[in-house]
Amino acid sequence: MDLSIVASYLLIGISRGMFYFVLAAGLTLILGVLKIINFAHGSLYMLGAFFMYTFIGIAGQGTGAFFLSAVMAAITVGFISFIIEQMLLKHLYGKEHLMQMLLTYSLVLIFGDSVEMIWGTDYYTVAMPKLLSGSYHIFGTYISKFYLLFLISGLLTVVLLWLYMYKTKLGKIARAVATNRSMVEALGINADATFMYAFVIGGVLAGLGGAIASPAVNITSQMGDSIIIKVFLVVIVGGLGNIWGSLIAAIIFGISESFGVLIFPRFEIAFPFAIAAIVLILKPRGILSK
Amino acid sequence: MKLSRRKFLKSGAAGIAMLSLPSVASADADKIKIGVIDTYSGPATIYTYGARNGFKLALSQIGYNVLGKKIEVLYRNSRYRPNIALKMAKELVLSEKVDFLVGTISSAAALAVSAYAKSVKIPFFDWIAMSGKISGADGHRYVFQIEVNTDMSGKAMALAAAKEKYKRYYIIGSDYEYGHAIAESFEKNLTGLRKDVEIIGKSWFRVGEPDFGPYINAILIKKPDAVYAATGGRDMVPFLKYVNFTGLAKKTAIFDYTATDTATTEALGDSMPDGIYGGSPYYFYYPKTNQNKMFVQSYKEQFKKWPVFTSPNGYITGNLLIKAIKLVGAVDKERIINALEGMSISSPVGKVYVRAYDHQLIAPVYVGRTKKTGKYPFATAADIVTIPGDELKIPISEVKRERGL
Repeated sequence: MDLSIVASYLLIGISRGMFYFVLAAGLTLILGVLKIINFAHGSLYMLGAFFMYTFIGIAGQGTGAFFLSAVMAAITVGFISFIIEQMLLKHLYGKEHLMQMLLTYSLVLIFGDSVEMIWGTDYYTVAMPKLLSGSYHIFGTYISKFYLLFLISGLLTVVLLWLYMYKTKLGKIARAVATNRSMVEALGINADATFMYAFVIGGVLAGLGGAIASPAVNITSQMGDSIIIKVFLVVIVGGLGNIWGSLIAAIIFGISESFGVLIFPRFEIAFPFAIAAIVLILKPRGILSK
Repeated sequence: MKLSRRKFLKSGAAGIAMLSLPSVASADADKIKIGVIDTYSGPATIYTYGARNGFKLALSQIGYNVLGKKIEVLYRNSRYRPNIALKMAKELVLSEKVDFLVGTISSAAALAVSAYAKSVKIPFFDWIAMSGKISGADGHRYVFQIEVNTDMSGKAMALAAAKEKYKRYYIIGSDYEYGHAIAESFEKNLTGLRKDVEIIGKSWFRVGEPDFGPYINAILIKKPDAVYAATGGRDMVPFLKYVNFTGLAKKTAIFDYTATDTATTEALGDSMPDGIYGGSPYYFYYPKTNQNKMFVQSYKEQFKKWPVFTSPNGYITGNLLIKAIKLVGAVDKERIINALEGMSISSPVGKVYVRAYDHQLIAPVYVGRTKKTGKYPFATAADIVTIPGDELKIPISEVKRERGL
C-alpha cells in the first residue's frame, strides 16, 4: 500500500479520535469526580448542535460567525449543565447510584421531547465554513480540511483540561476527590464547588462536541443516541474516570475505524469493538488503570 | 310475574348480546375504517407527514364520506420498528376492526405488516417503503405497493447514467436493504446497457455513519469518473454534506437517487452541491401540468408546506381506495382488490395504474441535476427528464422468478 495513503488514513483516524475525546473527556471527568454515570451526555451533545444551528442563524454564515457560534453553543450547554447540577443532581449526591442513573436517563427523555417541541422533528443542517471546505492535496493523497476542526478542538481540550487539572486549585481538589473523597472532606474542603465545576466542564465539552460535529451530521433529536455508545466504550477502555486513558482509547478507536474502512470496509464497525474486547481481556479496568 | 332463574339467564344473555351487537354492526355498516401505521416521530417524519397529508387531502376532497359511509382513519406511530408496526397492525385489525391497512416508511415494517395482512386477508397499501420485495418476491393478493420500488428507481438512474460518457464507476451506500437493493438494480441495468462500464470499487457504511471522511478519501484515491451513492433516508443529508465540503462533487460525477428530492435539498440548503444527478417520483414544481399545480395549491392551503415526494403517494392511495369502493358499491374487500387490479387514475404525476399481476403502481420517475437557482431557498432539479413507468416496470416473468413460480 502507498505510504501517503497510510499517512492520510492515520491523520483521519487521529482527528476522528480527537473528536471522540472531546466527548469522552467530559463524560469521564464527571464519572471520576462525581461518580455519576451521566446518560444525558449524549443529550447535551445534541443540544450543542441545536444551539449551534440557532446561533449560526443569528450570526450568519462566515467563518468567524461559525467559531463564535460554536463557543456560544458550548457555553449555553454549560449553563444548562449548571442548572441541572444545582437544581437536580446536587440533591442526589451520596444517594444510591440507581437514583442518579434514573435521573440522568429521565433527562435524556425530557431533552429529546423538548427539542422536538422547540425545534420540531425536521432534519437541520449547518453549512461548513469556507475556511474548512475542500481538501488538502498532500503527497498525492487527499485530506479534508474539516478534520482540522476536530484536531484543533481535541488538542485545545487536552491543553485546557491539563491546565485545569494540574494548575488550578479546583482541579487539584477534583483529582483528590476522584482518588479519595472522604479524605478531602475530612480535611474540611467543600467538595460541592468541585462537583459543580466538573459537571459544567463536562457539559461545555459535550456542547462543543455537538457544535463542531454539526456541519457534518444530521441535526436531529436522536443524534446523540449512536455516538454515546461509542463514547461510553472509549471511557471504559480508557479506564473509568481516567482522562488520559480516554485520550489514548479515543485515538485508538479513531485510527482503527479509519483503517477499518480502508482495509475491510464491510466490517469497519467491528474494529473498535474488537479492540475494546482485547483491551478489556488484558486489562479489565482499562488502559491506564493501576 | 315470576322470573325463573332460567328466564333471567336467557334474557340477560340476550341483553348482553344486544349490547355488544350495535358496535360491531356500526363498524361494519356506517363506517369505513382505515388503519394507518407509520413513523410519526423523529427525522423520518419529513417523509411520513408528506404521505399522511396527501392521504388527508384526498379524503377531505370527498368530505371523508363514500357510499354514504363515514371514513374513519386511525393513525398509529410505529417508530420505524417492524415489531411495533406488526403489533399496531394486529391491534387495528383485531380491536378496531379496520377494513384496510396503510403504511409504512420502513421496508422491514412494510414486509412484516404485509405478511400479517395476507394472513388476515386485509388489503394493505405500502405507500413509502421502496424494497422491491414488497411487490416482488414477497408480494401477494393483499398487498399494494404505491411507491416506485428499488428495481424501478435503480433502473431509472441507470438509464440516465447510460446516456453520459462516464465509464469507471464507484459504488458506495448504506449497508441495509434499501442501499443494496437500489445499488444492485443500478449496476445490473447500467452494465446491461453499457458494456464499456466498469465498477472499480464498492464500499458500504453503516446506517447513521457519523464520519464519511475515510470513505470519501477512498473514492478520491481511486479517481472514478462517476460515483453511484445508494444512501438511505438517514444518511442522505450528512453524506451530501461531505460530498460538498470535501469537494468530491467537483472531481467526479455523482448519482444519488433521492438527492434532488425537496426534503433533501431543503434540509441541506446552501450545503447542497450543484450538479448531483438524482431522481424522484415527484417534484412539487414538476411536472408542470395544471393537475400538479392544483394539487400543490390545495396541499399548500391545507398544510402550509410544499408537498414532498411521498405526498402524491398518500393522495394516490386515498383516491385508488375511494374509486374502488365506489366501483364495487360496498366494502367487500375481495371485490375491491379485484377492482384495484389494473385500475388507473389521474394523479399529480399524470395517469398511473396498478399492475394487475403484482399490485405495483406503475408511475414515472423524473431524473434531473441539482441546481441552486435562487427561486427557492433550496436547490431544485434542473434539466429534468421523464422516464415513463412502462419503461421502468420489471417484466412479470422476472417477478414470477423472484417468487419461485
